[in-house]
Amino acid sequence: MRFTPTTIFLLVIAAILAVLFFVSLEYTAEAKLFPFIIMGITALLIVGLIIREALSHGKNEDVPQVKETTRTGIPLRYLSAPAWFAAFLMMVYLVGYLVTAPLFVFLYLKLHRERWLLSLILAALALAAIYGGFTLGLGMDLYRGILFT
Amino acid sequence: MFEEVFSGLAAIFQPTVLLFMLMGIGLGLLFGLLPGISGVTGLAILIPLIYGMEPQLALAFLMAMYAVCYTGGSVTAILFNIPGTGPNAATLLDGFPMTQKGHAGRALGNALTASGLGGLVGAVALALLIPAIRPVVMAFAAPESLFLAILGISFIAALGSGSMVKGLIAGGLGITIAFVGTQPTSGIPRYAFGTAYLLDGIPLIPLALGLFAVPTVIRLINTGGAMAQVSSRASTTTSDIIQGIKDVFIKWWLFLRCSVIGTLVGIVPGVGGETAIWIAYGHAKQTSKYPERFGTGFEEGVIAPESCNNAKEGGGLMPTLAFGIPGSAAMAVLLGAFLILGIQPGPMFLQEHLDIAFTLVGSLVFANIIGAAICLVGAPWLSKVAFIRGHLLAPLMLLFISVGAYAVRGNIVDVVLAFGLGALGIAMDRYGFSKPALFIGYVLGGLAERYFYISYSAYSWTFLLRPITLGIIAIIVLGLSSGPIGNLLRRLRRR
Repeated sequence: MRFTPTTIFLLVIAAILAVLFFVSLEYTAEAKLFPFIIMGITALLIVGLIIREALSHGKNEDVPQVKETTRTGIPLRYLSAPAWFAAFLMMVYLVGYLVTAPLFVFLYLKLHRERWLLSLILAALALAAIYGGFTLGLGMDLYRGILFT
Repeated sequence: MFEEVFSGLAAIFQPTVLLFMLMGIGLGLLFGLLPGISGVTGLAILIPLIYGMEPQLALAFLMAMYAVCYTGGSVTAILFNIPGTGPNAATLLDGFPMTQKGHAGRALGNALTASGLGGLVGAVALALLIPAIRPVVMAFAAPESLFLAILGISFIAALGSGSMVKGLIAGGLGITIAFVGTQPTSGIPRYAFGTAYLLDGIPLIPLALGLFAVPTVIRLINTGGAMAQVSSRASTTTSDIIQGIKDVFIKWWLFLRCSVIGTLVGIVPGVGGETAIWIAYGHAKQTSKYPERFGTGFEEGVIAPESCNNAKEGGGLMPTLAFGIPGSAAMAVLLGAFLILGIQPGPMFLQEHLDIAFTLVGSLVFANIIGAAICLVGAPWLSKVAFIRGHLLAPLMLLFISVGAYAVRGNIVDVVLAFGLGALGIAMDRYGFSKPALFIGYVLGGLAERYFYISYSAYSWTFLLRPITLGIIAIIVLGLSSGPIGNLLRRLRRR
């Protein structure tokens, strides 16, 4: 049996459902009846689809056109998005939104070779939108980061 | 009843509501003009802003935004051969050839007038259907409502794009996500794994942002360049635009038929705007005196899909408001907005909140007229939005998604959750699983479980044998089996 990406995705979902199923066993009948029905039907559909995938030997599987890859076969450009998301989260966690907003926008734009003026203007706009819109407009107390609390 | 209708319609003329609708229209046109950013993404990004707003203000704002997305999308379709949104795809076939022939203004006049007026037809149809449907929905008790929820999910799976089985799995997964948190009837915490965070369940906004908005940002980061790659030297003259507007009135019968097609298709859950436009385009071609001119820059090929795609939204609101069954991902996100505002669409909604239903009708009318007018006047300038580089938008969108996810409960873990669910959204896109089905399953999951226990407590398993329930089950079975049976019959015929 060849494991296509779809099959692996289905197996991950099936594993999650299996964990939830075993956790459900401890619940009262009222709390587990409807989840059992839904998870049971979903699990049956997953099994059916895995069998169909196996029988078709992944004929219908889309194979991504990858040119530039790392040693593990992951396209390099696909790593930049998770890296930016992680950097953003880390910045918010450390210094909060009011510092992250202009700093992140500026750094992102400069690292993508945008002009200084445009980068500065957009960073200022981001700060104005976050502070004006959320803090002043909606009266929200935005996260300040562990360094400022 | 008339008092509620007038009060609902009058609400849109309050200065604050007008201001927010105008902002919504501006944002909707922007989302429509930017290829790859759909109305659903827009709704998901804007939902966090409605916390604490009056329901009529919040819903008029969201509706105005969503109503004009397709109007904006038609501009890039005609001028650059790039559909701003999926339902503008058919407009390319004749819209861009008209631009190449030097009739961009006429095509824009055709599209924007048909869009604006088509939206009006959809809104009027909704206004007329609401009083007619009220007695029908009152016949629905818990068992019928349960199966209506299942009908909604199964139709999204069966009639949406991609594999039906994958759609059903996504729907099941969505319902399963809704199980996380305190069980509604017994108060027992489920699937919280000992954490306080999961006791309230997976929150709606991080899920919506993760599924629909985060993948868009990731695509922007990965692709980076200008969202529209083709430039156009289209020129538009006032006389050309006026001729385009006149065309719609000259071909009023085609416009009306395609608007009605859009409205009817919108009522059926799961048949998206992407399908509706091709039905309208095909119908226009079949009934035209000049079918050979379609695809060469023929105004009927622009009027037909454009009158259909905006009219669809009026129809799409019908099952959402009357039965609480969203017919599309956008309607599911809108349903989520209702829930955030403490309103439950469904059989009781039209009894208790008829005024809100008519505020939505009014905002649809207003947004379609103003949106079309803005585009008619400013199309050549507005279209430049399509050339904004992805790198300029990506950090700003990431920031707004993050603040949106955080703002709801003031919990930074919601931001991490939204980003994490983005990975699920990408995987679902990649492997062809329906995100709308998952989201609708999630939105309807809690409701379906409540209806299930009420039905089971009141009737035991005999709730399955009630006449209307049996009718709905038959429709579900027919809907799910029609595709496979049709395929089987075709194969047998070939042999």
